Amino acid sequence: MKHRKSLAVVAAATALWLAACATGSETSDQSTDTLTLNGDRSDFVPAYTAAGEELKKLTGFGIEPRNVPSTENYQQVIRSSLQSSSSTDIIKWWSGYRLQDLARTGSLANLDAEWDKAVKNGWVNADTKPSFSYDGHVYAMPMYKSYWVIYYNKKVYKDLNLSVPTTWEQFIGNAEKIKAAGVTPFFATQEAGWTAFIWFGEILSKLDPDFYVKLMNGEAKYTDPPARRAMEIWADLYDRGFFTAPDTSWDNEPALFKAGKVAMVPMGTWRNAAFAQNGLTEADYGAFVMPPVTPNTKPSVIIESGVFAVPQRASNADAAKEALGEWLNPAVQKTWVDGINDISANPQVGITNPILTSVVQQVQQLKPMELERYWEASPPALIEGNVQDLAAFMVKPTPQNIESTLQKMENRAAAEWAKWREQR
Amino acid sequence: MARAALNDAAATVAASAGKPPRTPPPRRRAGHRLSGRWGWTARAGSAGFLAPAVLLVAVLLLVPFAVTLYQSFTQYDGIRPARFIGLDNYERLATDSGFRKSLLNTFMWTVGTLLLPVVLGLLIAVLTNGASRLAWVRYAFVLPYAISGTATAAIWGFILRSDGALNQALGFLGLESLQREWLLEWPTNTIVMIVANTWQAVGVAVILFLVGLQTVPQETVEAGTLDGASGLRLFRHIVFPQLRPVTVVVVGISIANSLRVFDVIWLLTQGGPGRVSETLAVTMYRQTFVVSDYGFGAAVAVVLAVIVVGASWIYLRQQMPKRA
Amino acid sequence: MARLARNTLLLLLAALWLVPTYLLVVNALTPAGEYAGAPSWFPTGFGFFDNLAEAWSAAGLGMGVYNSLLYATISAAIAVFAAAMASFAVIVMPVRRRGLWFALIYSGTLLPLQVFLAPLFKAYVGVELYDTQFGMVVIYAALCVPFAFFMVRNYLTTVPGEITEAAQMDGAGWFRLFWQIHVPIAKSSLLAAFVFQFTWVWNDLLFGITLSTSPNIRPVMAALAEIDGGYSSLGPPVVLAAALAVSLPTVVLFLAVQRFFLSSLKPVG
Repeated sequence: MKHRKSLAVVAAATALWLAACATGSETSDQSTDTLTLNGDRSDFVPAYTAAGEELKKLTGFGIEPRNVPSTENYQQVIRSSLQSSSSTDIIKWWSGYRLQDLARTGSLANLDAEWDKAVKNGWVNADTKPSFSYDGHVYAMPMYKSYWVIYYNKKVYKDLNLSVPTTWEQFIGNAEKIKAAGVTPFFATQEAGWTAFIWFGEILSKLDPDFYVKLMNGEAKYTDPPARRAMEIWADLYDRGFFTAPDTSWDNEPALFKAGKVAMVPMGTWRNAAFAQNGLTEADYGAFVMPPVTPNTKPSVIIESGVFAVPQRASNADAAKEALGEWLNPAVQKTWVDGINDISANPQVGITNPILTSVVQQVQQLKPMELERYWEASPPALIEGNVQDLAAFMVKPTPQNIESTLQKMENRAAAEWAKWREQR
Repeated sequence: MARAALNDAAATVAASAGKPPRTPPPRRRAGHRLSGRWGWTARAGSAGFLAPAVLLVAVLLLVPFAVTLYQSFTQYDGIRPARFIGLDNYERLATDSGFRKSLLNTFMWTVGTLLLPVVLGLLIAVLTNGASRLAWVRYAFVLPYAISGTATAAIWGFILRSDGALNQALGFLGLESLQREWLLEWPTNTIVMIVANTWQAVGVAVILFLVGLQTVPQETVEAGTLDGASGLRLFRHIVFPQLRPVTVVVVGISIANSLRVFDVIWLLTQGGPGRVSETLAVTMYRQTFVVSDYGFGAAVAVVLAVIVVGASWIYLRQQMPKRA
Repeated sequence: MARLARNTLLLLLAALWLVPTYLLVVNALTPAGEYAGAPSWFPTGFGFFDNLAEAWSAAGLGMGVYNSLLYATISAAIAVFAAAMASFAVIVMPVRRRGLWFALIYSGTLLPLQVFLAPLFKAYVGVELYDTQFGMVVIYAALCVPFAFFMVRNYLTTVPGEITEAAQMDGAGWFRLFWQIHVPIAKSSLLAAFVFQFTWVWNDLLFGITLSTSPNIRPVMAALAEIDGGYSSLGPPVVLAAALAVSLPTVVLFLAVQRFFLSSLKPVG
């Protein structure tokens, strides 16, 4: 009898609770004056909201951000909801071929009008259009414009009397002196997966940027001489012990850099936020663009732009398009880049961070060729596979492995490019 | 996960070991009309009792698997409608060298997870069963099971990386020659990850075996001692045979869970470098969530499911009590 | 002597086993500002509570803990109850094709969990269960049923048939038989199943990330994942401190209850 009563109480409580069950604060009761936005970067969320407030003043729509903490799961969530009305109004994605991967399914809204308006207002560099297009039409707006630079520890440089290198010889010379002093010159790891392509992309682009572009677009081979030369340079740097161990945790990078255990870190300017939040100031670190390998090589710099796109079937798609039309407005961008501590895609927007300012100045002086980052520069399946091969090379960076690694990448390139072109 | 599975079986064995198998109520032969308490009211009742569990599992677990099974015969990028391509994915699997490596790793994991936690668990259970003063020591082995996956991966990363605690300790002890890049070379990385997994999985085996040991009748052991057997011989000929039901459960559960291990591998090496440490579960995840080739990933999942179900079934047949 | 040898071996193994736990604790204590990029063997300062506080507010762990408590308790309870009923049906009641029902329910546990993620996401979105507490409870309950069923079923096979027959001669209906006879007998296995499933749900990450997104629905491990990873600037010590702290409830529960079901798993009589 006692059992039965307590059972009844429990059952009733459960039933009541189930009936009053909570629904997500971010996914239920969608108000009509906010646009939902999904992304995989929890560190951007406060900046999304702040930028949304500026957008609200301009368009009447604010931003309500969501987040999926794992990139792989985020990709699945987006893909699964892209062709239904359950997707958020705006999605954060990657540029280049990764954007094309989504755009070619016909699920993204056309942003040609919004892009043209931005170009007309001088809010974006028209030359960057290919990164955000598929088949001649624009499908996304740039979130930011990160340049890939070499961050260097100023204290290490000062202690060893080194100056910022402007030639390859100086760059390597600095590394030699740093190594002799017992500090690891360069940070490199394959532990985070994607980080394995960084040095390959940097060296190849500084060796032969035109070849880089052809290779990325499937018009050249991984087994061609420039690629081989780049790998040889990379293997040589490994041979001289210039790099950190290939399984160094990427989480440890800011701490190692700050403690002066690693002197130079190649990263996008978006990494600036992490360094700043770890307590590094202008006195502690700076950034320079990696110099080209030979004096007659054209200067180049690798660019990375995350993008915002609008799924066609999103419930507020039209408002989202309008909002993206105002995304590059300096009023919005000022708040946004202050929040993420990076560089705006709008060249008119000023920067307060001194390190970022110095990067922009260097770029203005060098007038380098702008190259898409490796991650977005070729069909995604090809990149994912090649990154694994590059990771394996980093573990055994011997001259003997260069041939086999390049051959594997080329075989995959042939297969994946055929698939990509056929699925058009 | 491994923990939950092994744990659950803990209680089952304790009570079932040493007990005569339960005989189900007598069944009428087919063709006789069932009546009375064995009639349709009983069958309706049993449907009611079975319904919650069966519905929960069928709707939320088996239906998604059926969907995955169908997807394995299609080309599906997660966005556009799936396109039926028959057995193409399976043909690709058969010729993919990465898949063969994955199978090999899965096999290594199965063998490793059978040997290490089972043997160690038995050893520790035996040792703590006898030494009553040191019984608290078993907590050292059982606690890791309760620690979250994030913390486990973080700490084993700390230990196993080239600049990590293991190499530091080896250097400190003057054993620099033994220092390695533990996570970067195959088969070393698979082996150390099996050890990392064992760290958590052994606790469950310990509990299971402890419980099994408690059911070994004291008289049998005393009789054996009187006959002059002691130590290892006593264990091998008297105690261990009585542990057979426990061992079967531990082994059965270990097989099922070793084949599903994912977290440890993904967080430590992501199946790399160069896909050398992937197991089938990791390959499935990578193909679906990273490369976005949902059809191919589904095919890997189906292959894995067939292996797991097949391997588990062999043991479950031994486990299920015989009918009287 | 033999006893000394085996005690030494045991203590040695235990010490070895405690090393990772020790490292976990020590590195969670490191103040975030002093972290130099490599793990330490010895405590360097005591920043545990600072680390934890930072993680707590950055990841909204409080709400995550509340949600996980809710899910773990309710889902495990539902699963154990459903499993008990199903076990009762399969063992005690005259069901045809017992093997089939066993296979059906148990097979839910044999499949790798990632298999369920994409189809369930789409289904949840379709029936508007995505990002709801009800949705989370239901999937966790379903995931917990197979093992609980396996456990309780095997335990029930040890209940002598005479008890059932005696009760039925007294005119007991099936539910009364179940609730007043078999459940009390199987209490220890039910409790053990509950504890194990509670721990599993508490530690789940994948389903939390995939099927929920709002802070008021997300379980604790998914909330923790927000500050984990290379893009987060909080640093490993903070994440470790948080991971350690959110592991405590399961450790405490396990320690508190372990003695009970370990000893009560001994055969009755």
